[in-house]
Amino acid sequence: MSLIDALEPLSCCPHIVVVIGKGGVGKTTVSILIAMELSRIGKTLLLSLDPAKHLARYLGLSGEDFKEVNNHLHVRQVSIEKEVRRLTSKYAELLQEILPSLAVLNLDNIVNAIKYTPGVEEEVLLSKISEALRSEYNYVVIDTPPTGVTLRTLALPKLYLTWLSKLIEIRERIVSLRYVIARTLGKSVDVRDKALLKLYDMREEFKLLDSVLCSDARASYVLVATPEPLPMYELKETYEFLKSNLGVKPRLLVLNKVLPDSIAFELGQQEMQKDFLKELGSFGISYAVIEHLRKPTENMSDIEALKTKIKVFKQ
Amino acid sequence: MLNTLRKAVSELVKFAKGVKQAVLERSVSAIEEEFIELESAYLLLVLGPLVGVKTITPLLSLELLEPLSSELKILEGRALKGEDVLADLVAALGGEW
Repeated sequence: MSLIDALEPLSCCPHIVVVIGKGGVGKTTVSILIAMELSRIGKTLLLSLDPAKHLARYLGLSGEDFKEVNNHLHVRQVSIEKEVRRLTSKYAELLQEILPSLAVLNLDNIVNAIKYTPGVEEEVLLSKISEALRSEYNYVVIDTPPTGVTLRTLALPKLYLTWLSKLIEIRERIVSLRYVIARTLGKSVDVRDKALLKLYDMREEFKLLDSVLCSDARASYVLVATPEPLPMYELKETYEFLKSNLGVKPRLLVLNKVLPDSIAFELGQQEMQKDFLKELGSFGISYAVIEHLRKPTENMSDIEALKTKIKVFKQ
Repeated sequence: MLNTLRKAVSELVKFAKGVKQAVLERSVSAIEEEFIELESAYLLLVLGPLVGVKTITPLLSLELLEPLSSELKILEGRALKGEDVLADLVAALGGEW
């Protein structure tokens, strides 16, 4: 049984597979394995948002890059810093255009404030996910940054919708008052309001994003951990977050770098490893166990070698 | 005589129109006040993140700026043009002068 057997049924288009886990547990490895399998049944994009850029190393990409591995598998490594820089300069130009006096006074302060504001990274990540949703691929596998950033990013659409609904409420009242005043005074008024239209557009975009991210049919979450206390703790935390904030259950849990019994025994980790495996089975979700390669995974041939070390338990 | 009468009627009509306009303007003044307050509140929500007032996220704020460019130009004209243009703009939304 392969990893995608545990993910089925997979709707499209595109179906999003989000791979989440603590730094260093093998998210990129699992993402590549899943993307390779999915590319056999449909056009697949492997999108890495992980600042560690392991995907670039595995596939010989440089910086933010795009590569067609074959007709059905495309990979993209996103450089978040570059994206933040790009966005910042785009908005700096916009501000300069709207408020020219800023250019001679304090535009630099504003640009820096935008660049270093907490949350900008999450917003850039969300925009990349949103782009992927509008792509022509059947499947999009997302290799995410470490857990904290990913969970904050996934929570953003709901937060945006709350802000947008409040702003829309105020703007609608402004537009209706403007109309009433103009009509009462016998003046002509354009009922179309650019700001309100922009708010409606944004609401639609975030509604779509939220509906896909919260849909079992359109998105699958794969949680990855290694048989160690902290990665397992994060896996459980992520499971709870997905359930309580997005109302979804992960489709697959993966325990990576599992040591063979003899080695685990020698290292005194056999009992702990067994406990984690038992715990994984107790979620009532399909899970996979990937045996340790006995060397770090560094390139595509290591990933190929891992394919023989995967055991999937479908529930 | 007829001309004088016409002139008088015309003046009366003008007067009646003026009264009507005054009544209308008075009746919308309360609505106008609410309109100005709401517009200020909206601009404050959108501009706030750029001057350190945490309302929405800065990127959302920047996305929403473009359709407000004409309102911002009017506001800019009212601003003090000190060192912090955006803070002046926010002050122009009804803060202390």
